[in-house]
Amino acid sequence: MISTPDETDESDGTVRQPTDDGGPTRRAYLGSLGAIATAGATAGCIELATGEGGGDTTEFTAGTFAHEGGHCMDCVSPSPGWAISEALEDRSDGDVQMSLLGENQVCDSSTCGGKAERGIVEAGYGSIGNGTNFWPENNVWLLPYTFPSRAALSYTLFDERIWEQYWVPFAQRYGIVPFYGWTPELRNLLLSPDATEIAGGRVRTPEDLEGIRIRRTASRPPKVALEEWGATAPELSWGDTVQGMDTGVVHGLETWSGVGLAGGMGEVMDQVTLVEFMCGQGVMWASTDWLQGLPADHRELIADVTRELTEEAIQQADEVIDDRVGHDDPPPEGTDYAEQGITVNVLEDDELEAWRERVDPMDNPELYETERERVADLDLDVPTEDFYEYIYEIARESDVPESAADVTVDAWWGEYLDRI
Amino acid sequence: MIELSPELALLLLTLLCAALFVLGVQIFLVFGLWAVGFHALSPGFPVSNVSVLAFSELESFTYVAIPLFVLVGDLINRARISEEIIEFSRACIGWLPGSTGNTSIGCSAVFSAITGSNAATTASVGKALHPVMDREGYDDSYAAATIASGGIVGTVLPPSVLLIVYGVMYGVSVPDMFIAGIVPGIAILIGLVVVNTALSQRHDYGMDSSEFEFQARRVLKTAWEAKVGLGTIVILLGGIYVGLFTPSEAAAVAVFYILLSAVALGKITRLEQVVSATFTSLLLIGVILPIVVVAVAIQQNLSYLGIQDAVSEAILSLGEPWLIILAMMVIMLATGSVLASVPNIALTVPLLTPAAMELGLDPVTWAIIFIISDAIGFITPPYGLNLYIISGITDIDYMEVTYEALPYLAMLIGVWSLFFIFPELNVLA
Amino acid sequence: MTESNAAVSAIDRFLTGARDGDLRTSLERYFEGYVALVLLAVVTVLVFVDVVNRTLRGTQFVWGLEVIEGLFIWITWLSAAFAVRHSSHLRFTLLREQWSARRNYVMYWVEWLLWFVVVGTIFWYSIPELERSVEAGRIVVGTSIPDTLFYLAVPVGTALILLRVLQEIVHVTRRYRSGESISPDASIELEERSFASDAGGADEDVVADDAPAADAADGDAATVDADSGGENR
Ligand code: NA
Ligand code: NA
Repeated sequence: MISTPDETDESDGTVRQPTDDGGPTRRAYLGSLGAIATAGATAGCIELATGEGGGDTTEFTAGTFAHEGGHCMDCVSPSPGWAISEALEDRSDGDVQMSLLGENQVCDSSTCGGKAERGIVEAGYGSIGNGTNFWPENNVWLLPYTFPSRAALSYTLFDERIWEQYWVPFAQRYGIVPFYGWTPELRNLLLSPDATEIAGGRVRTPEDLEGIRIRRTASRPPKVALEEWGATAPELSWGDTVQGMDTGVVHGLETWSGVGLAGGMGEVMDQVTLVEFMCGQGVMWASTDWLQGLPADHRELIADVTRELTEEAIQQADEVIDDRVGHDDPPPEGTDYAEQGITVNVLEDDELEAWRERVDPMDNPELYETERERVADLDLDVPTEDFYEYIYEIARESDVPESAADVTVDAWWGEYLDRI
Repeated sequence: MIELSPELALLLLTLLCAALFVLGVQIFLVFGLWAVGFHALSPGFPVSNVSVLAFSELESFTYVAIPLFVLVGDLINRARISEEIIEFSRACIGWLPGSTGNTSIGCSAVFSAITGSNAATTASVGKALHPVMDREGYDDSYAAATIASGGIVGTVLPPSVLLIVYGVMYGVSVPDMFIAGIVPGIAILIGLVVVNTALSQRHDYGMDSSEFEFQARRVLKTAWEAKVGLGTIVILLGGIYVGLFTPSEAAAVAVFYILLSAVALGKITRLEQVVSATFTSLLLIGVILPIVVVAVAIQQNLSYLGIQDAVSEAILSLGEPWLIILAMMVIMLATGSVLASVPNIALTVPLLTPAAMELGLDPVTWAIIFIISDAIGFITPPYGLNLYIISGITDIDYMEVTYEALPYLAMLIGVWSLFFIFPELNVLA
Repeated sequence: MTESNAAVSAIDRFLTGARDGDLRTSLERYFEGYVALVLLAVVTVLVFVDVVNRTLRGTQFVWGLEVIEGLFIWITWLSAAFAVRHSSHLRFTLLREQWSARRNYVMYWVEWLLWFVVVGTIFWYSIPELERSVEAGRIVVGTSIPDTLFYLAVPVGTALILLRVLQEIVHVTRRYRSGESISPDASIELEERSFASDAGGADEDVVADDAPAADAADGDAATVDADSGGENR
């Protein structure tokens, strides 16, 4: 849908209906001729972008729901997309042109990934969660408490072993690769004033969720986790969620803070509970056919730029949370949570354990058999018993940096294209 | 052979589609050809996109409200509850000069608050009241113009199918838009009544209005008799405003309510009445939503080609707010006049929204301003749907009705400008 | 009170026909309509039950939203085909009404061609989409319903539209040759015209909205919405 903004997120698939988050910048609003007269006047002076790498130039289109006002590199939910587009143009002297169409102009979170896979656009956004709509194997990344930190998430996702043993077979099956990544986060519970009322104050334990309805996306693991905790978990679009938190249709949602704030949830939130339970990772996916068909120098430049800026986005993860979002109790002055008067529940270790133990895949393997079986179909060649264990172990290696600021991206799609 | 540049091909395609529209080709096909042709001209953006949209654009819970609202309106018709609504409207404003004219305008407001559809309203009010106005000495073209103009109230006054389409396309809260439509909707209603009262007095149209003396008792009595219809409004709008229901849920509840009460009161006695009401509502869905799909495909192509950037930057480059407002108004009047409403919403809104945001409007207020312009397009030639409907019903020449509608048009443009220039007037937005 | 409402009497006749065993006629006229009607009834009940459940018990079907949206896509495309059968697709016929049958007939061919270009394109590219959705094998959460069943609405619905267009080609051509009026009409209402090939020559040709303003007196606002052209509802 054309819609606007916010849809955001993650949501796997569900987010079909865009909605507004009210912010003015929300739509890039390209659009239409509208009147025939206008068409006549402008048709003569536009250049048709063909999206093909003809001759010396490479032009391509990437579609996303994101808007520059909430998702620039200095924003509350950083995406390197606009910076990549600029860097490509600068470093190629204008020979490589990435047209990043945001705000659902050509597709939204539930359709962009599919459109990239089908070659309708060269690249399309979908969080790991959204993408499960088309690529159900990716559910394996969404099992709760797989990643102990934001640093561990990025470290694992873009590790050399994972490229070889997961993204390459994945690309062979679907014809797409992760093209660049957003700043990583972990998912939390964003709750409305109604939730506060029902819980009689702060939500700090799973018991507090009784009688609370939390919007979930279409992917299965978050549904499992929410229900294990005792919440009701209806599926809703992002837009309906904003309205629904206002009217009491739902009392909250699970997502990552940055995307929630960029998507207008701040206005309908009262508190956030930092359960940090699942991967919150925005990804731009690109068609491998298209990448393989590019002139080598352009392809190398695109690989370099996307890698460098993804790394830059990852390295600011902790700063984003501390200085822009405000995950502290009370949230530091100047952060979004402070400005919007939102209560932040930072959990003590024993409190967090109460959330973790009910849904952790290592303690409750039976809950996630579907996801593990699904990924087993890819016949991945890994040294552990199953692929999930493999990523679980990598995420806990001693080499995982303390801080996301120290994560480096050492392996990238450019090196694997010839194996796909 | 001359080689066509893509730009020229695009221009020719656009002209071809305009010609096909004038030649009476179905609007879905006109815009469908434009969409398919656009894709063909941008090889990087393949036409398979349309087949994806044919699914993904329709995947919306909110759209479910459309057939259900229309079904409610149709059941009300078939149960002949609309006659009670006419009597109620007459009791309320029938005592003014131009009694039946005002009744038809008021009736449009009430009726459209039930069906959410202005064209349905125009047709039913026209069939019921045009002959009456004719008998009472109104100029018949003027009577037709009055009904056509009254029919646009429903687009702005909630619930409104076009507000739903706008909300789904641009992610604006439909309940918020419904609330924001109330004040401008009532302002439009009052404006139309003022015009009709003044003109009827001047031309001595209609029966002696003293026949319809205002009596509070009569208002109450007719309101009681129209309780099923009015009760539907309470459920539909009340449930949404209180935050109890989403629009789709309110519509489903209203369907059950109207069925139960109409059957209980003996107003619907045969299954066929329900079946044929549902068929009408299905036909409507089958007409509108495919147009949504192809209109969105065109919008995505325009985005893809970057055409809109040029246009929206040009508007913003005017700098002065009053110049921007003027340019926007000219564009809205022009596109509203030539385009059908759904394509107008899909194609024109993205063009103007950056400027609207620059002017400091919030998305909901802006949505209503745009929808008023879209509604005005129902009585502007060349493509004025309401004029066209009423001219079909009454057999009066299209241009004659258009001419008689000019005073109403002037009033509507006035009300619209007020809400655009002084957006704070819309206190509920 | 005269039941001049043509649409209602069409149903009456249809039901009578069905009772007499003429099921074929009724299926010919209302096939997509009946299927969509059943689906719309299911959707309405689901929405209703869901809202009652939520309000009274605070629970909802986990699969409710997805199923409702999926069925709605079926309803849309079935209804689009239904609207072809009943010549309801919105258009601007001011010029065409004044045209000769011959000119109109030529224009019909342009339209038929366009149906195949536009809807044929959607149909054609919906097949690979369908295959993809089969491969992805997504299941509606909390059920065993494959998502593919919902996507199937696009190829099936567009194919039905093309079938209805073929039917119209035969029908309009027959009417044109026998000198009957073929002026296009875009009222959104049921048409009574029989398309049955064995109707024995002359079709009935009663167009539902033939008698507009006249019935106003008896309050027949019913089919009304019909002409409404509805795009704007
Ligand atoms: Na309305
Ligand atoms: Na118009």
